[in-house]
Amino acid sequence: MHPDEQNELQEGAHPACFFGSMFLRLLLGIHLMLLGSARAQVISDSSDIEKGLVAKWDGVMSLDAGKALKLPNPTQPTKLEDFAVTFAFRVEAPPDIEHGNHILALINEGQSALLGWDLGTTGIGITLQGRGLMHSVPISQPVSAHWQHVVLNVKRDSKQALSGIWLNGIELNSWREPPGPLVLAQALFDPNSRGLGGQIANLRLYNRALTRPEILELATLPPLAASKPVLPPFATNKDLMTNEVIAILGGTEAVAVVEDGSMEALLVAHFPGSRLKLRDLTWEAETVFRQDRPMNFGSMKQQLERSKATAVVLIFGRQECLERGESGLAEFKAALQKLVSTCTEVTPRVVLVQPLAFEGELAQHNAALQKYAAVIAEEAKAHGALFATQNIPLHPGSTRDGLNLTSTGAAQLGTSVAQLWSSVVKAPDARLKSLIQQKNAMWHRYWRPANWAFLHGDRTAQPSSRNHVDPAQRWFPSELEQYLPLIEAKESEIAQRVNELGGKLP
Amino acid sequence: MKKVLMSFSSFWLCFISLSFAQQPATKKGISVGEPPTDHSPEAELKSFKILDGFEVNLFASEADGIPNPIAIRWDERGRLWVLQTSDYPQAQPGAVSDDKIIILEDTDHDGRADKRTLFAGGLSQPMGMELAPRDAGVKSPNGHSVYVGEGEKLWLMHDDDGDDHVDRREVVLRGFGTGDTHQCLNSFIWAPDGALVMHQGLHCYSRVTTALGTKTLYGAGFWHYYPKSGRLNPYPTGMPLNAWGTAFTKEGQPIMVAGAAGMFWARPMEVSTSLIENADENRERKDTQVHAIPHFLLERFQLPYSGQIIKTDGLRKFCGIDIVGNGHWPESMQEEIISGGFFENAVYRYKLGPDKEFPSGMQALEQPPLITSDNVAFRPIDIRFGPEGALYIADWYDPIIGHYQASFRHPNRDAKHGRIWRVVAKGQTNIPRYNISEFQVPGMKGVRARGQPSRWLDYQVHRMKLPEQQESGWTEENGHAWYVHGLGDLREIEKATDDDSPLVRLEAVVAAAKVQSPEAIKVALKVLDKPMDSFIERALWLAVHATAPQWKKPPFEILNSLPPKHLAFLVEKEGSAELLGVVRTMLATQGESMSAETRRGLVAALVRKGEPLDMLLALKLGIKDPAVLQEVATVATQRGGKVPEGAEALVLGMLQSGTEAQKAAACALAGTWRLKSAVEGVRGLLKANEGTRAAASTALSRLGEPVGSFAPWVGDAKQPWSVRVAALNAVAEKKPGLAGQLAGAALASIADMDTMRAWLTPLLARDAAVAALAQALDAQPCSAEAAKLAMTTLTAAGRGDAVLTTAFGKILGVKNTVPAYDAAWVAALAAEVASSGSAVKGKAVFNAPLSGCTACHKVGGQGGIVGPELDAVGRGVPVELLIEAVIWPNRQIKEGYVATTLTLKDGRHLQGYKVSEAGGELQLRDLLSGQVSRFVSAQIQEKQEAGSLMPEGLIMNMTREQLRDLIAYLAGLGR
Repeated sequence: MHPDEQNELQEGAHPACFFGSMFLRLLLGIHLMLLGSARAQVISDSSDIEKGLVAKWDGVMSLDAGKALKLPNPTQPTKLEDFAVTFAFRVEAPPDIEHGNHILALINEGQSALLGWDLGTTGIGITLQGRGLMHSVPISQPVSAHWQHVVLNVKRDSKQALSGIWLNGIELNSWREPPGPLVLAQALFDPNSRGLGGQIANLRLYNRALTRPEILELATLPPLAASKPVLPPFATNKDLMTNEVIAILGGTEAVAVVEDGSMEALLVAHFPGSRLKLRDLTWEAETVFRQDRPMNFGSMKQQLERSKATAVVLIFGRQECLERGESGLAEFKAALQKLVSTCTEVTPRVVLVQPLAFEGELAQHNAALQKYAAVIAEEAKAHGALFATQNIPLHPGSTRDGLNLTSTGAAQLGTSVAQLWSSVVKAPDARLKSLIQQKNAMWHRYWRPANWAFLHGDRTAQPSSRNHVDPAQRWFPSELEQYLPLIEAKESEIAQRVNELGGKLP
Repeated sequence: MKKVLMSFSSFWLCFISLSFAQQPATKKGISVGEPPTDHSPEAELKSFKILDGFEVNLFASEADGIPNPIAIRWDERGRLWVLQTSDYPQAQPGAVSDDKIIILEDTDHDGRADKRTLFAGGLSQPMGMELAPRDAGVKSPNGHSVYVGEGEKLWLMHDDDGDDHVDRREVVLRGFGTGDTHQCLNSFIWAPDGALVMHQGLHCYSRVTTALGTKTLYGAGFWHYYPKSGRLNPYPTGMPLNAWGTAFTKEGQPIMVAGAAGMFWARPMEVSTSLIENADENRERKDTQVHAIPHFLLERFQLPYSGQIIKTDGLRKFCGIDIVGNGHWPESMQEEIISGGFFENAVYRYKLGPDKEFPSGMQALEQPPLITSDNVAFRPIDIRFGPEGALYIADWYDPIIGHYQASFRHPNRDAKHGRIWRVVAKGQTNIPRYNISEFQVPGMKGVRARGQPSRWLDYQVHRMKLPEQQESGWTEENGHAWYVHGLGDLREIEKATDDDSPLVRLEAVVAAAKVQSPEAIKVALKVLDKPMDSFIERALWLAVHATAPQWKKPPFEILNSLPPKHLAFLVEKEGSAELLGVVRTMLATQGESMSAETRRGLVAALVRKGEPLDMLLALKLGIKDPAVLQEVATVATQRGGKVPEGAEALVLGMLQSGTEAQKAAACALAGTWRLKSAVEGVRGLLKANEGTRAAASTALSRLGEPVGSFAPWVGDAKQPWSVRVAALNAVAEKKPGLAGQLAGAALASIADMDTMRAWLTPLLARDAAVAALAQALDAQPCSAEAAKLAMTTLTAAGRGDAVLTTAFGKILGVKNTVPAYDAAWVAALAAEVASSGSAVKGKAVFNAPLSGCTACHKVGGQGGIVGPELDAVGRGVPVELLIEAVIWPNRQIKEGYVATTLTLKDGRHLQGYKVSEAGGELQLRDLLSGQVSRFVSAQIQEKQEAGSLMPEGLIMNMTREQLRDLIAYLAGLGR
């Protein structure tokens, strides 16, 4: 792309503009630089979503400003095979149905709009003119002070590809779009409105389809998410904060710790009224070396961000010790360092945990495990993290097979973390533990539900996740959102139980 | 600008009026089978057509608290444990999950459950269950422990005090995949060697922590879990995509059935391969690794040859399996396989016999079914013989069985009903009903006192006191084979590799692959000295990968000590740089003395994957071996590259004074390497015999000879077809337009499909040639016979070329056009099918050669294997989807039938099924030529999943009525 052909705001027909063309040139210059280095393997999340950007409008502007964004080449039609249009909006005035209430349009050679919004029936409608296809999705609160985020994602590069409409990071509709380029001859990317009061922000046109993790990331860019407060590291104050969200990372044993619930029960009881939340990001067989997730799950950093973690507990070391032994200590240190750094990009409040000893025949590895523990302690110190030690001997029967934890072992490991704050060693209240287990089971169904192949994997085209009457509608992704209020309600029950216990230690 | 906005505005109003006009409620829903109107057990029983000599009664129903039973297993007291799930296929937010394990008992032995005990509740979508051995942790003699697969977990649930209620639940293992709930851990059964067999399906990605390391199983496969040692062995299978049941024959051989279709011989799959980086960019999960199993094992169309399938008359879909072995059932039916035909609402019977083609495996002969039904909700999904020899059938009861084909939230999914049916032979009395607990014999000795054979009894005794190793003392031939597979002693295994029984040799390979020693592969490869078949080959192929960590270590002593033939197999299947070094040395030192077949194998591997100088070594060896020369020429053509120093003189020498075969190969090399010095020599061969003449024309074209020298041969009826095809190929390479033109004129003289295929192949790979041919046909149409033959040839090969189809269709008289996809159009046709479609006439359409259906699809055992079998398509696919599949084949593609399109750097487009992709080489089975061609990555410009191989436009040769009748026929299949 020649610099002169880069997109710019078209002035004249639309006198007011938010950004000067110089700014956009600068922006696209950065974009080109990124493209140039795209072959490098390490691409951070934020640079990835700049890839394939044809035109972009940062910032916020009024819906009725009537400005147009010029596409790269004013003389040649811009042809797009796959593309994505994404923006945030909020509407603060009721609609004027008579004139139609579109937010923006892509205008093609035949001077027809490609994307619009009909407020009359409280939804967003998408049409690709000339293809006989119409898609609409409902929005529960179209007129609202809240920002909402829309993506039209069009993917036509293979016969199995799907195009879809996403609202606030949730795929609502998807369908097969026939192949063939979309021609944008008038080169206008036109936010426009008839009597619609509101704002639009972060408008982007990509020459490629976006992935789910990218859409999720875009849906959390300003102004959609409030800017993050600066969080204090544990080094300045060891206590947990009000509304603390603790994410747990780790492998099979960490899964057992969360499932057991003792750790969480002790913590919520120790900090009554603080409404602290635990978010389970554990995964079976996970190590610092390897974190497998299903397709489109998102990076570890994104998982931490999406779960709104303000503190992270990392339970690692045992499996790594078995896999690599003493000779793997240096690799372990490097991989742990990297993982902790990923966490500290989101929050400086980190807890590392000394691994629980092995039993039975595996006890022969306990000497090596001590060295792993020492490395973890060093890392904790280096990052200003808390370090939970195993300061009581292993309860007999803590493991099934020397390695995998029984509920006794899971409770002991969990208690060791809780003891960073609480000195209680008594078993937590049974009712409280049960409520916590129910809450975590709901989170599990929300966060990593069964049938992922149909949710965001490679079987999303099947009827399974679609409405049986209107197959374009995807019920599955939005249905899962129903878990969030259920989890919140369960957390209220937990808080209530803590109150019943008199805010005392169980 | 203003104009734009005005137009935009008027468009916009249009948008408003249209976008929300289509209210969902007016559309017809997609369903899989309309639900029955009467859901009573009586109505369902009435729908059963039962095999003569048998009768069916209701053992239990939803009234006993067992809606949607998913697994049934017996305890030693003759009580039936039922696992049921109402949460399936996806738990609802806010709903309480309470799937259960229920113990049903028939206390008065009248064939109807009369006592019901809730063992455990609170589960969500458990898929598999089996009772544990006595020593699983319960002290009370009346207590039980039971293994349950639920989501990521394998549970062991204990009733400590013997009151039949669970007291303790412990997680044994975690990390099983849940990508698709009907494929989660299922179909538990104890193997003769003490392993708990568990299956998982295609979308389950499992990583499980055990004290013996993290065990990985990505995709379809099965597990063997040994409770005493904690060993967990993963066995990836590729196909079957979704096994749902294993039964062991009386000799201990595992027979596996799959919901996705097919009956499988599981032993050759019991070789656990390691993980490799995922080389296939088109594979679903780009971010992960795959098991080192050959790609072709994933392709359904390869099934009969892939060393895993038990051949049956039709590829049916199965859930649940047991084998007859009791005194209750007729003598003539003993050892028969009974399996649930959930898809076709039937219970099948098969007799096992030897596979004559592949003697280490077996074949299954279908018998008249035990039950058929026209009730679409009858879904037999688990099958168990009971303590008295009656057959118990878990009936899921749901008009919708498809996990893919209908919405999880479809209102017709039935979560309220479920039955256990009991099948008995009429007139059988005094059949002993076993109850092991009555015997009170430690070690279970003497339990057989009642005299009659009972698989039920044998299994319960086995289950209660599991061995943790091979039981010795098997003497029968097949039993001995079973014994061999678990041997850990390589010296013993080595003897078995030389056994006269192919089955024993197969087991020996499986056994060797489990031994952690560099010698293991050497022993396994010894089976190559006896006759091979596809089952042994598969096991050996997997063994090569499974044992690689042991043998692939310097200084490669094991490899150097391998006989050349064994090394050739190893290189063909693995081909790493370490191996190539060994091959190079061996060829240089023993190349002349080894057998021709071995030499060819080693040369092929070396030149394909080796360095340029290897080509010279091969060429020298090839002077005495035309087949080697041919291999060198083929590889040189594919890989291109420089002429190895010294090769030119060898080629010139052969052109001058070689044998005919050497001359032909020398022509190929001269052309590929563009050896200008060879032009005269090659030209001199234009008058040579047929084979050499064809090779010479191809070479001359590449050497720059004007096409005029051999173009006349294309139309020269005096030339043999091989020469004409070679000339056409040569012309097409340089002037594709001319090739198309010339080909059109000669089309009418082609009388057979093979020649037609050879004739069209060079044209189809080039757009310009196709266009010119179409133009030529337009100007001067060929005969209708020739057009028909060409169309049939294209259709049979799955080559739907729109341009040629139109051209030939015009000559034949087009009867129909392919509309753009339109749901209303589909609905209208569906209505016509319902009102006036004729399945009888449709069958004739299906079988007509010009329709092309039977070229690729089998019905009733007849037809091709390129596409899915259609025996029961009408049972599982609604009419609307059938119409879509016929008219727009790419809208829904069955897994395992996705074709690949290659665009080569020389401009050719090829289409076919990918056979393998590894080590920088892709193998494609071109369906037009039927040949497997190899391509190195450097040749490939673009590779795409091409969707279905089923050509669009098949309906152009049908009238609307014929199309309607065809759909009516397909919709009736399996009904």
